[in-house]
Amino acid sequence: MRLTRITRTGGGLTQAPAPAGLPGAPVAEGAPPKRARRQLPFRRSRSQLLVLAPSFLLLGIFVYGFIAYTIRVSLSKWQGVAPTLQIEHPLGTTFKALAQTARFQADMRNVVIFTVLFLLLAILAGLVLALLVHDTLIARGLFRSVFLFPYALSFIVTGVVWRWIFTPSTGANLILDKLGIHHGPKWITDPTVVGDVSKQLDAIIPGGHFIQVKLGIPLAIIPVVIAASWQLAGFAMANFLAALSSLDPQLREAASLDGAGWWQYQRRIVVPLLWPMMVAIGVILAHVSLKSFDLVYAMSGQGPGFATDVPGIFVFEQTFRALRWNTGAAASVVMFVLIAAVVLPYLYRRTVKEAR
Amino acid sequence: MSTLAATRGRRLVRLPRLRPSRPLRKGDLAIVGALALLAVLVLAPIYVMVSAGFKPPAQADARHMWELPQSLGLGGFRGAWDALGPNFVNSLMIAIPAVVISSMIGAVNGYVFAKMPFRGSNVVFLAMLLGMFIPYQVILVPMVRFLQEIQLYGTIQGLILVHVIYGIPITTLIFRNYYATIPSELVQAASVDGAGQRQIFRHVMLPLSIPGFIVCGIFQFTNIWNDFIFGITVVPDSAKQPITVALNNLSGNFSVDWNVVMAGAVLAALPTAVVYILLGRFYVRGLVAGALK
Amino acid sequence: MKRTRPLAGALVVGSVLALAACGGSSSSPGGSAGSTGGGKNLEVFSWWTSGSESAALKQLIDAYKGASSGAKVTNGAVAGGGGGNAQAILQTRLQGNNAPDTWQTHPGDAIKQYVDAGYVTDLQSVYAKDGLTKVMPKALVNAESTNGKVYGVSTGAHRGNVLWFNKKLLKAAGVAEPRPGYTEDQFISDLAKLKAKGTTPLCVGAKDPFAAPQLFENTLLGTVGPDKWNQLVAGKLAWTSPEVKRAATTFTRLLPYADSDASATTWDQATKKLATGDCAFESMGDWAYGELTKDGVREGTDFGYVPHPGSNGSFVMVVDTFVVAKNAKHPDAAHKWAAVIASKAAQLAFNKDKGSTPVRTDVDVSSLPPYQRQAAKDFRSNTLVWSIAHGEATSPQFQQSFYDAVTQFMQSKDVNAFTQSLSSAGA
Repeated sequence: MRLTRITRTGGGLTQAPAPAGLPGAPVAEGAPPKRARRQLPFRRSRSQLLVLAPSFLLLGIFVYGFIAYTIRVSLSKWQGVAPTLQIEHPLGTTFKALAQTARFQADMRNVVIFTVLFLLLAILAGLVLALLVHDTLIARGLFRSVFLFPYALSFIVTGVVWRWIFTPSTGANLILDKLGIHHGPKWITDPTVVGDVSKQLDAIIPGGHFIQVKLGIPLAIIPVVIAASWQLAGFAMANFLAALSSLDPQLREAASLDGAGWWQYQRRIVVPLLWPMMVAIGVILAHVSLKSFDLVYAMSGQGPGFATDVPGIFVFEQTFRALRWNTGAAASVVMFVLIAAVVLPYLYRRTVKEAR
Repeated sequence: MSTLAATRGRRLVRLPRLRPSRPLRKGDLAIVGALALLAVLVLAPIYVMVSAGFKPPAQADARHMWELPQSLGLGGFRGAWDALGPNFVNSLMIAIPAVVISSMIGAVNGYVFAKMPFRGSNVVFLAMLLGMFIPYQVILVPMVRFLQEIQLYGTIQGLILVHVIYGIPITTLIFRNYYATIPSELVQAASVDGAGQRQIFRHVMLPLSIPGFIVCGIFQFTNIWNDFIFGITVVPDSAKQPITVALNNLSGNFSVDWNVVMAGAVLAALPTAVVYILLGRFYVRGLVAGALK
Repeated sequence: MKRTRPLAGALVVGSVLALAACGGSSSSPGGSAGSTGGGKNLEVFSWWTSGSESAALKQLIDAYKGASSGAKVTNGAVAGGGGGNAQAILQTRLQGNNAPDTWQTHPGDAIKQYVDAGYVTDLQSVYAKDGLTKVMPKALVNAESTNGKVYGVSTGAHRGNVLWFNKKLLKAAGVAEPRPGYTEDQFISDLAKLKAKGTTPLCVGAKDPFAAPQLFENTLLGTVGPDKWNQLVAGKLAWTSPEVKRAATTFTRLLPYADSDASATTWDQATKKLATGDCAFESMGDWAYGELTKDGVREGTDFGYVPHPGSNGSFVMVVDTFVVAKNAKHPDAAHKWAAVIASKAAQLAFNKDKGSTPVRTDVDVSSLPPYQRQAAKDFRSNTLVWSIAHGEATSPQFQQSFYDAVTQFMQSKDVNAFTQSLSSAGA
């Protein structure tokens, strides 16, 4: 079938919509999704569902089926080698015990703080790298490859290297020493928790005296944040580069005609345009950090006083070392709920609301 | 900007190329200077890894990590290849089919969600996406039991199946976003011409999908190649395990030869690095076409 | 279109071919022990994957192959996660009714759980044939037995309560070398002297989960003695009793002398520090011996050892045991394996590479290095107790809680909270 009448005009694939306010900014050509959807007839669902059915079936088993199984185990009595799915009464005993476990409380604190700090650093670093790489006139491809390379490495190994770097007597402190900073930080051996609000929360939350750990920022988690950001900033950078590449160069010219310098141009025009992409990257990175296991395990393990312990490690050890299957399952359910709580609102806004 | 004819998808979108058409200014040198400094910081841990691979065992540890190798020995690499070589092929046999199949499924699914929406399709899409967010430790035991039921436990096909299934959500997401930016007039016009859905997909969408496939390919290849937990659980036979498992076994519980482990890590990362360098340029261009909005 | 079609087609065809090729060589589901059947083939599952461990395992495998000519042995070793990865695979396989023929585990509660779950078969015949009950220490046979039947065969016994020291550093600080009978108080005052001299007194590889708990249990043994120890693990003595609290207090007195990097240092890095003169003392099991010799230092001239202060006369056992699956695919081969690894020749060859001592008391150890000869002597004459930190004395559940309690205690230094959590740990 020859479709000779169809052509596409250039510029049809503009990524970011140009702000209407700027002088000379062309309107994005090519139909934005909203208009397109209304143009497409809503077809009968039969053929679509047929196509989607295999994926749906497989995911139904491998995701929803297994989640259901895990919930069942988390409510059971299963501890030890012999499996049992017998429900433990009163219902939810394991979850209650879990909430009162000091280590798990520390894990929850750690994973939340780790995720927040990691998102900030990785996205910021990715943005800065992208802005620089995009605007450089020399060796653009080389720099791009260099910054993207860490993403290719396995966490298990980079964890070991970063452990060496952040051990106080070697690594980073040796370099700081040469720069004149003796007595460098204690990095991953630092048990200090800064900004403890557990006592305040204890007063506010009814029955809150089950909190047994300091709820603040464990300093030892900062090196782990640095390591994780190093590995994933390149991924963020590549996404930003793509968005930047589809920015209309006329924007730049218009801005400099208006007298805006490089810095102002980036801050006032580019960064706001990149906001949707930042949110998308944030969601993907958040789900990586909430599940993290390999990097933390190889790098710092639990850390002094569980300063760097994360739920991923907890689940692994409870399930496969302690053979407390129900505790491991309960912790997994909590992990999953946490991730869903972070991600679902964003997805809901993106997909369901977009349709309207 | 080149024009894309719908029937001829072989030309990728070409970026406007910034060539130094003017003499370098101070600002440009500042940018390069900043980049160079950042590059040194980023490369430092990689230097540690690679140099450790070349060092003799006594020198390959934390205390000597910044030093240059005393002697450029290949003992580490040789030992690593002996241990990892057989599994290298396994990883290829697992990664390539898994990437190809999951990308194709993602393309088809993405097309349905982007161009053939039906009532409730957004909820269905959301439900499919949830699969992306499941922590993998959770599902190990039921997954193994299920694979045994369907007689695929312990096989490479079983491992490929698992990677494909857990890759479907993200590949669907990538292609859905990508296809959403392709103007629907193309689909309209084609159907006005009398083309059926399958023909539209094959003749209109697929040729335009190359950037999407490359993005998917890179994402999936990285994730699957570096996977450890599925490889170790689904395939207990060490002869069939992927390279990440063999690498992990190099660092035994009780004594570790770090030069071999680090050399092994370098070897294990090479294929992904090659994929990145070769496809790096396409990768960026692929995202231009809206693969991840 | 002309260009993309063949490319896409090639990819699809290539994948299908790859899958088909895999299909041809894949083994039957549920088993990977030797593609060609044969009752002599065997699958051995362990976590010994590198260095001296895998060399030692190879000795056992060679001994088996020698006794069973033409047999193929599949070595399903998997490392990492502090044994967690191996457990992950083992547990999933056991529940999927796909047990390996024989696997490595610890004596004591671990074996009992397998017996109760019906996963393992008894090895009475092996023990009877070789008269093993006469030459294995009673404590060992008891730990491997349930209801009077014995279920495991052990390979070698490491000693957990050894204190290693760097001779040169001690000499430079004017500290006399410890002799058997070294007390905890002497130890602490020596640590203080070393610290005053600017030397790191004590290295702890606390990144590895077992290292700090091991230091604690050695201190505990040194304080309460073997009898109370056995009472503790049997549940007859409370963890909150004053003797335990005393041991916990002593432990807190040791902590200030530990190196500041401890939580980022693995046990082998800590041992290497001892070898290179970066710290003076390390309390570590005798797998450190092989590590020290690998690091190029020599016993007698560079380093020495003594039972952990207060524990002279007690031998903390860290033993690896092999059990045989009830539904093994090759039951005869598995029983043969058990018999072979219990033989004198195999025990000697294994322990020579592993650095532990043979569990058979009738093995001639004169060909082993001095440390191992001494260890064998101690094994045969000392009071034998089981290690808690290595999951021998108590259940896996307790072991994990023990680890977590010690980690917490190292920061809080709260003796009462610590002993309280230990007493509720088994729950």
